[in-house]
Amino acid sequence: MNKWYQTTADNADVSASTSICFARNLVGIPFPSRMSMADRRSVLQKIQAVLSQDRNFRYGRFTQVDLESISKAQAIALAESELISAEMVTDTQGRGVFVSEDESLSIAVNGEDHLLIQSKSAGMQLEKVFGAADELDTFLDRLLPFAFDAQLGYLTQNPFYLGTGMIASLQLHLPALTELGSTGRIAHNLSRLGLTMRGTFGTEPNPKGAWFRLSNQVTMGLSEREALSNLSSMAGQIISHEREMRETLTGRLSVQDTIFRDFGILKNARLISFEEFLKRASAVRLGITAGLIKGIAVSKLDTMIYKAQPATLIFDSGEALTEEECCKLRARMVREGLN
Amino acid sequence: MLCESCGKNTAVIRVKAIVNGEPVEYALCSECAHDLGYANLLFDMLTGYDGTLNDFFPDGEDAAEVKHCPCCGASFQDILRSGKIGCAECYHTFADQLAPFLRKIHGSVSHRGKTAGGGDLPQVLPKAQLSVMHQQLREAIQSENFEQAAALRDKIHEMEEDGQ
Repeated sequence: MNKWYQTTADNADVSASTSICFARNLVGIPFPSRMSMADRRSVLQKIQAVLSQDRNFRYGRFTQVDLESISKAQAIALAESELISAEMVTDTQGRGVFVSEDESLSIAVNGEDHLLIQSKSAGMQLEKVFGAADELDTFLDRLLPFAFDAQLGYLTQNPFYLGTGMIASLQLHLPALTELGSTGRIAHNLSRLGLTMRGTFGTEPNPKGAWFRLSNQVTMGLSEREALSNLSSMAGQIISHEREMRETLTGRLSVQDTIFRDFGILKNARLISFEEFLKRASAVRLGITAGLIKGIAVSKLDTMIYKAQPATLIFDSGEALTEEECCKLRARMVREGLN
Repeated sequence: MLCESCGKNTAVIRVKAIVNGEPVEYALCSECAHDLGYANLLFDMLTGYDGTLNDFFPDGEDAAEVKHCPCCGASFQDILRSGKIGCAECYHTFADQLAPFLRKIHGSVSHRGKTAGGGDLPQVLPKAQLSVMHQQLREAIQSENFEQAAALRDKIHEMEEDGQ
């Protein structure tokens, strides 16, 4: 079965993926920062028991991964896939994640909150992704006593997420706006509108590979659909602005030269670091979406970016690799994918 | 320590991330933390109250008089120190103390949207789900977790009534 990131979708030229998370907690059990180990195991068991009730449907077929029984590389690979948080990698005891076969639905357990229900999809598909997350949430809600207050909404460990407890995000590729130096100003303006835009790979002002995560920041006083509508409307403006700028940019010979040089390097390199790959893949992605590079789907390149992440690469190889072996394996995977 | 994002201001919070296959911690200043969407209660309280921690941690306070949450045992000072709420019950136990901070974060608005226990999507309720809940109710009573038991009992009643 294809993973969610291997599929093609509308608006994927700029918005590579959509994800929606719901933070949920159980009544009568301390939040993760104050949970005992027995509490952690009990919550894991409760969720496992509830999901197994849905045997005939997909929730019953979720794979359970107990973080304490897996390798560090696998745990980091899960964090690179954003199925668990970075914080969960550093303390794995009594923590876990339940994942659907295509990895589009997951429940991270005992991270920042008891449950982090997550739904993902390629492209920009807020309605579809929200529907899947909402359905799983409703299923769990019928069987588990979620901590909720009529005025405060869903009760979360971090009070910033009170209300809907929902964070919706779009993974945006903004090479043209980055080239023009506009992303810092956009991020600053968005933060005043209750949205946040930050680099996907690191916190530098010019994020690696021009990858950004655009999310809602307001969870209180706005319904889920109102928050999604705000996000969608701002994302729409950023996407059309990026497209306009791409058209201007990719018409320039110097930009085309960079795109084809980077394409050549990716098709021929024998050793490549993740950072260099991200930078060159960004130019190649721009070339693909501008129609300059033909015969390669954007989803194929996005899958490569996903698979080329250091821990994911090591975990998928099934071996302990040195840094050079990693670079060698990454270069081979990229060559085979592009040639 | 300087903020590792802008390199200009003093860092006030640390956030964890995976970089180049390793878990790392970043130190961020208040402005970058806000712009990057890393929200933290403690940080927000400190900025709002000009770092006057003494207001929250008076010297010589009698430990016996400190109120603790009956569910998780957290005191309000614990919440302030960690920036994290101890459990759902803490929101009730420390409602008065938390109110000004919650107003500062969220304004005076209240929740709109999905309601727990309500289920916005129509679903046919399989009998198996109710039997699991009955089992959970028995477990909750056995372990003397009466608050959870009461919540489960109410939910079962509600669902049984809906199903009739």
